[in-house]
Amino acid sequence: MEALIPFSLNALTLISILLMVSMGMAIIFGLMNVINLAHGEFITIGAFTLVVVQGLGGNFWLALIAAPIVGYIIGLALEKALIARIYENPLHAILVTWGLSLILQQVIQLIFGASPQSITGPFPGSIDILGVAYPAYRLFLIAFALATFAATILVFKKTKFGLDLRASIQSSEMASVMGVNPDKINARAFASGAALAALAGVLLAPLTAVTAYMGINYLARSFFVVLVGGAGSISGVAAGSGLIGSLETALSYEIPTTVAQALVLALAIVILRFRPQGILPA
Amino acid sequence: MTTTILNTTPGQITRKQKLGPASIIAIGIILALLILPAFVQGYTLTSYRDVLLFALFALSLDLFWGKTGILSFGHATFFGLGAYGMAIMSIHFSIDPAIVSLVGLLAGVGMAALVALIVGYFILYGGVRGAYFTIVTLALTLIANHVAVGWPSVTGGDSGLIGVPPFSILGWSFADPISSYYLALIVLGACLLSSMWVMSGRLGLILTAIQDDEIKVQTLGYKTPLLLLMTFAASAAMAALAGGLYAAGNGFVAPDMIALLLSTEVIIWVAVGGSGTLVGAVIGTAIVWWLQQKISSINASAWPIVIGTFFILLVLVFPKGPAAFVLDKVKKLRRDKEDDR
Amino acid sequence: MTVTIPLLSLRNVSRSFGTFKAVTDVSEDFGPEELNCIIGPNGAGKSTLLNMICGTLAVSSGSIHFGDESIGGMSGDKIARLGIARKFQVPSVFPSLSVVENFHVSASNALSANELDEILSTVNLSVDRDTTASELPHGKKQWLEIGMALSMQPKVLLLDEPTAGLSVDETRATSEFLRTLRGKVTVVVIEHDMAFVRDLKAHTMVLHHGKVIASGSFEDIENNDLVRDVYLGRR
Ligand SMILES: Nc1ncnc2c1ncn2[C@@H]1O[C@H](COP(=O)(O)OP(=O)(O)OP(=O)(O)O)[C@@H](O)[C@H]1O
Ligand SMILES: [Mg+2]
Repeated sequence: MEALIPFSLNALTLISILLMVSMGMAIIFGLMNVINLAHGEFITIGAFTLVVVQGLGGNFWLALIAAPIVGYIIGLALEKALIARIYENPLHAILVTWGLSLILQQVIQLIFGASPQSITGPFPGSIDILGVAYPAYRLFLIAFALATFAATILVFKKTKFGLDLRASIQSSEMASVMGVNPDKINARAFASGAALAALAGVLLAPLTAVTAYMGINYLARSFFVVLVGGAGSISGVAAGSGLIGSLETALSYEIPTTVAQALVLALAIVILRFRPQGILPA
Repeated sequence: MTTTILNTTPGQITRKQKLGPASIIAIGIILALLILPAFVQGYTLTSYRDVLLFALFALSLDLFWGKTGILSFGHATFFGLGAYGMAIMSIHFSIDPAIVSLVGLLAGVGMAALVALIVGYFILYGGVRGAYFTIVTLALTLIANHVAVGWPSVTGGDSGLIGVPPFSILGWSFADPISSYYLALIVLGACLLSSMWVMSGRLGLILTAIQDDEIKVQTLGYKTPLLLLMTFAASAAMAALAGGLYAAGNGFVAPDMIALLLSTEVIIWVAVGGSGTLVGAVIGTAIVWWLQQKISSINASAWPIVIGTFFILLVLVFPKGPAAFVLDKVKKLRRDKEDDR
Repeated sequence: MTVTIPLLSLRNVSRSFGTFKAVTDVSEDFGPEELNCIIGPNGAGKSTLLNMICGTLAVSSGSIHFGDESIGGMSGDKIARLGIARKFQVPSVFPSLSVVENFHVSASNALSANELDEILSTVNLSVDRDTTASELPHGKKQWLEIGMALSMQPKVLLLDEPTAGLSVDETRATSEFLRTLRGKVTVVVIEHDMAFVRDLKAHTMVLHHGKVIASGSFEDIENNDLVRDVYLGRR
């Protein structure tokens, strides 16, 4: 029973991380059907926003506000310049976004160097939960991820933007008839996905080594979170994160983390064979 | 019906071109490479050998991607399995030196074919095609890389394994640059010519037909998932063959032989040569290798940026491949000239 | 021809898409002695029925037998290897292959030069042998696909609107050709052109809203009041 509390908290932390990194993927890949292999680099961009903000004397909270804005602007610019031309052809999307990913990684490394950046997160201490001391920052992360998730769902279910987006995904012609400009909606949706990924980057930074290549660790996992959860439904992300996060945490107790990650990805492939539409399809 | 696909004799099926331009180019290249050691020796020759093995790796990808239209983003997995199979067999087990290279090669090639069959079964029989296949194979390379890094007792972890003996078989050793070069050339030549021969026959037609309309091919009586799976496994085995010979040639393995960047680079080698031509994969590898030498000597970290830019240009500027792009331009120039007259 | 062709028999075959029933309780036998036609208004479920016979769609309920073999739910490639060939409503040829290459893919055994020439002249494509299929006019695509089906040496030939988009002459040629197959191959044709069906003197089955509302000789069908109401009456 004693051991169960840290286990559940560890699992919850990982689930929250996966939830954060996958929400942007759920919009761009799950809803818009664009394969974005540069997703990891938007996470990296978020983390490096924190590096820059702290380098300029700002604090974590400022970065938490700045990162999604930076992510949104970069996402918007890239959508207009490149992504808008590749919606029709998945192979083209793969090649272009992968090219983008390589360039972004290398540019970040050229500017900031190869060694991990030092950053400081808030809440250095621990909090006592049912007799177990647990890092306060992780608890904050869990709460923040849940809040962001709830807010994203609300935006997509209730606001005009969410409705327009869903209309334009169903049929861009219909959307045009209804007075919605699908190009604009696509651009804003892609940028929102990038903003969410950048936000995830800031939150992740205190828990991991911040390097130009950090994003790649989350690329395949966020794809599988979305696929396993059910592409096309934002709520599926919670199911996917829950399953993949708890499996990975459980396995990590017995075998090296990297091998556990590998095993979970392999398992995800098997799940998709038998449930190609995911656990919670749209 | 599937059994007759491969063994159609040339008399029965009019091959698309008996000896088309592609086969003439292929034979020309092989002949030119045969006399290369007369001009190049020593270390330089060994780096040419490595280019030949990379070309074999590119050929393996083109065999699948070029012929089925499905992009594998995980081919480094198979190259790496070949390399690690060779290294692990020869370092961790005390096998009779007369056959250790052969055992190592078979282990690597067998592992690669097996992994391709298992993963391919799950995705191809699950009806997954196109982009999803690409993502799953991408994940496959990540998984393989995680294992290579995270299991040091077997794979040597981050630093890999050193001390892979040169390829030898029953006392014949391919240790010196010239013999190892010829070994690579013979394997590449044999794989290139046999792939071109098989693909110019009925199997090649059927794979093209599957790209056009898979359901229709099924209603003609073919087990299309099986055909795709077999092509994938053959392609994986060929990649592992390249990897195993590469490990033996260089004496070591490292995790970057089973990494995403290598999976990416091989796509470029194929794309530069024009995917689907098979011989183009060999030419593309040579061109990109030459470019990489030039660029890396100026600035090593610029290389990934060049690759990234190339991917974007590939889509936005020359979607049919640079070779086709140049050909089209030349044709257009000629037409314009004729119009002027 | 001494090959005996088993009966293709459908019993209570149904297919739904979600809650929508596209085909309901169709029971019918198709044999080689006479040509078989399926007629019915747009959306009646004709193509859906053929899709179930050739395995591109699973049956929701009911059974399909080819001789002793139960083929309902068998995979499409297996059904094809039993000798059931199919021409789709939208001409499905391989656009990036040449005419000859299309036949090399479709033929059940490697074709000899003679066999190839024979098929080419049967479907009148000898001059187009090296033309890429995507460049063929619509009518020739139809014929190419029929030729591909024939090259499988089928026992059953399922043709979905083979004369759609054909000229009067071409349609007559098709009808003549189909009549030469009587007794050798079980032919099931979906048609809209009533003159064509009359010309074929086929055993005719009428589908409406997924149900068989009549079945028999074309004369019987023409005199059936229900059929007149829902279908023929509209002329
Ligand atoms: N894959 C599918 N999913 C959902 N509904 C379908 C599907 N295929 C067919 N239908 C519906 O089933 C009904 C029957 O379609 P079918 O294509 O069999 O008609 P048909 O008799 O061949 O008509 P036509 O003469 O227009 O070719 C139609 O209402 C069609 O919309
Ligand atoms: Mg129809």
